[in-house]
Amino acid sequence: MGLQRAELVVPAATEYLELVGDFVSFMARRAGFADEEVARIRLAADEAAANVVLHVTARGVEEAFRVVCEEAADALTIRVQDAGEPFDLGAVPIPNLDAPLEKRNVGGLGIYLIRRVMDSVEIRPTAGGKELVLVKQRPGAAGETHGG
Amino acid sequence: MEVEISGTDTVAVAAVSGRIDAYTAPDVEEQLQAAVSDGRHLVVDLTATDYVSSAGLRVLLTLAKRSARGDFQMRLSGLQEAVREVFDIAGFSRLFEVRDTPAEALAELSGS
Repeated sequence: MGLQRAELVVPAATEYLELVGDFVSFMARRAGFADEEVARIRLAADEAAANVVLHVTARGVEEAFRVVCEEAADALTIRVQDAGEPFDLGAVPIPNLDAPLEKRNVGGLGIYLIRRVMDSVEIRPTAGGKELVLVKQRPGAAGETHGG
Repeated sequence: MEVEISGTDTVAVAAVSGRIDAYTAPDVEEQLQAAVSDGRHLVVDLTATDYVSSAGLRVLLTLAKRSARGDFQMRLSGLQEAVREVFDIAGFSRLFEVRDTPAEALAELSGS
């Protein structure tokens, strides 16, 4: 089979996060990623989806959101799409990993983890809201980064 | 996700199995907080925990902050490779005392 695109639409509720993770893991494995990379991609998708659920819940509405996985020759792209407003990723504070325990912030880790395990992370406006676009280079693809 | 509490009169050993994500984290937090509510020290054994997201890290950080205030002593044990990687990325490895086995952590806290 050739390059595939698949999408999953689920209610914005935390109980569906495991399903999102299973879906993304399946697609990452299909794209040829090794187990430890599949685990990292799953973590990023879970954090992105959890972020959507958190904000939908905070708005007090019931909504669904969409997770799209797209294989390309050189990369796997995961789009987490919802009806929320785009926000400035650059404005999300970076946790101070050197801070002593009492000064470590309890929040703010999700986006940081995503940035650390994916090759690129962007937020784009869509017709109905926004999408968080996560890209991971496929094994052996030109431009693959290591140790990021 | 399940939390099984065992231990001694002075140390609670909470074995968490499965996933600690945004769905399960509130339940994990409630059970871990309950485990230390009687003044016991705490070992969180993650031997059977195959996934920890930032929601899980938050639960452990909240407990560690309580521990640092002197409420109780805390150890983690049995981190799987994938979980250890998340700890390393998040800079958590330096915030926690991590032991290979719950027995080792329990023995250490039993003496204190």
